[in-house]
Amino acid sequence: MRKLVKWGSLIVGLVIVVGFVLFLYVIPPFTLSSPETFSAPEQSAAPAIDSIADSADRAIAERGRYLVVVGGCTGCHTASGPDGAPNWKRYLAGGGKFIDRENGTVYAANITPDVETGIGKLSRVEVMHMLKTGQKPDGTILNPRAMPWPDFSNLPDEDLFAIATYLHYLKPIRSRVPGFSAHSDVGDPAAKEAVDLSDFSAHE
Amino acid sequence: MHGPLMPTRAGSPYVNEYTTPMARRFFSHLLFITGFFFATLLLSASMPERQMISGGGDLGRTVYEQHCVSCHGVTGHGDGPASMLLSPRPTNFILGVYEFRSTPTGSLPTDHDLVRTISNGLPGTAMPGWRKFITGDSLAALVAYVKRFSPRFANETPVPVHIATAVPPSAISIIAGRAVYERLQCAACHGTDGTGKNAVLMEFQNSAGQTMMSADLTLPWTFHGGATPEDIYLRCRTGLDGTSMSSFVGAATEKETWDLANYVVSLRRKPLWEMNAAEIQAISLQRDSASVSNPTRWGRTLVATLGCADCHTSLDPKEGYFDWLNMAGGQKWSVGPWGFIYSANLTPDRETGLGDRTEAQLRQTLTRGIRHDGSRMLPFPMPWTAFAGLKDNDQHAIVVYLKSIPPVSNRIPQREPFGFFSYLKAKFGLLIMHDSFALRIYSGNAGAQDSTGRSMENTP
Repeated sequence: MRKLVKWGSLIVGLVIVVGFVLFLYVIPPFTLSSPETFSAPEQSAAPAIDSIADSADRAIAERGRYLVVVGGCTGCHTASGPDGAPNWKRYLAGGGKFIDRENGTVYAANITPDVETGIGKLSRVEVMHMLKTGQKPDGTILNPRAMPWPDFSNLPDEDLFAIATYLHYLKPIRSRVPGFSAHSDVGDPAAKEAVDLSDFSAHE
Repeated sequence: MHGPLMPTRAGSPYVNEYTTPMARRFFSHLLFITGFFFATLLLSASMPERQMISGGGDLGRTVYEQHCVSCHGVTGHGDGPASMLLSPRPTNFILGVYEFRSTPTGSLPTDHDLVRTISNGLPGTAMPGWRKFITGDSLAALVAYVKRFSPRFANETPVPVHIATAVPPSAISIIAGRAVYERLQCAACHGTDGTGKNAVLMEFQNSAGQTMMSADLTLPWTFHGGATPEDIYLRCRTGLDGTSMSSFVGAATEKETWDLANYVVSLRRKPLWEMNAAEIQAISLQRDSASVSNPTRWGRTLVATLGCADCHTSLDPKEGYFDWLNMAGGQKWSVGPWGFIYSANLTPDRETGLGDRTEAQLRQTLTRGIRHDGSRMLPFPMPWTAFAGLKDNDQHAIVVYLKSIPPVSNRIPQREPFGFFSYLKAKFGLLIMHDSFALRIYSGNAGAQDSTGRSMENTP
């Protein structure tokens, strides 16, 4: 009887350990779910534009929404929740981290129109200008490797204005993102840059 | 021959047992000063450009390095970290060729021209205006500093072209300007209506080898050199050096040039931000049909905007990208526990790039993360989850454009998974310990530069 318990618990223990290792090895099983399992939430997370009263702005924002979604703004500007998946409730509220060995660390900005913590103080033309030239309202230039404004600079001004219009009509989310820090440890001496999409913002 | 300066101990030729401490100090100082002198001489010989542009207490240099280097680069070659993806590329100050001047074709700009460009920026490009941030002494010092990059400024004195009294933009002047527009065959590049309609040729290679479009004359907010009649007058009289827009100074009188400027100003269409909903719908349809009728052109803009080259061009370990490997992949990333991945070669090279992929295959990869062999991509870092929303005509434009770029042979290695235990450890950290999920980016080209496996380090 005692032998049976001993062997039984040994086998159960072994099954648990092997099972856990197997679980670790195959989870999450990306290839078992369809590509749409991953893309559909991202496509639908961008708030609709129906609530915009001004019909001209609504038409412009429609273009802006399209460009914001396919441009992948959310890739950096929506941080991940504790489960590792993007936290869609905090769409574009910022918080991810980009570390550049030479230029320190920047955090993806809150680009919802919250006045204090987001881009609510900026006019749409100022946002358009920032996307076109990388020049912030204080005159400094955004790190082009962290925020790929040289890419967006290739879009016609009117498309950039459409992006600014869509962002302007988003629901403001209070989310204070840390400022620049000189910290530049990318965690691997051979690497040049690192991206960490955990949420570093202060939820207020 | 036993004087006080004769060395008596090997290895210390300047220390003599006969010398006093005072003399010893003098000699060591002398040696230090001589060494310093020769070191300076050596340095200045090996870095002539650097030496030339670094004067003592240089305000211009401080201002330049504070504001200008991310695009124009520390050495003024227009090769800063933001430069490669910009269209047009930032000005290379070494060449001393300037588009926006008040001086004849081939001349240098005046100081006033440079002040204007710095203060106003170049609308429609990534050059912002610095009016609010660089003024007074700083501005003057910056102009002087920028001029020092090119030796031309030391030898030439630019003289502005004559600007005749402006002709008011009356209906008569505009009609006369239209006749000048036809006579000078402006329509060959700018189209019969200024938008490029029926144009013979709209795409040009600029001096950086980029494909540029002739200006759409109905969008004055994108006129790089400004949109006042005088700005347009000057562009017609002086040409845009380094581009295909030449001066028409010999082909039209001053009065005719003013008429032409007035005509071009009259071509303006409303910008999006002044339109009502119906006008916006109309312009959207127009834009979509343009992307269908010329997919390569729209594809170029889309590919640049979506930043394909950010990851699909390998990084120079010093700064920027390897230009000649544009879109040829080879950038190395580590992705959480999944190991090292290498960005694909997106040029249409048959052996190592996209040459033999069908449009359907490429669209599957672009929007669903399914490779041509049916294998699946992770939902990051390749943002196919975002591209999933691309409209049909935009997907088509991207594929058509990628098929049109010059093929570059660069064989990309297979994905390199971590070993079993480090994979498990990283996975444990990610799933159980909620370690931050990190992507790392490495510089250098991981691909073989060409099919013979010649490594990139051996090529210029």
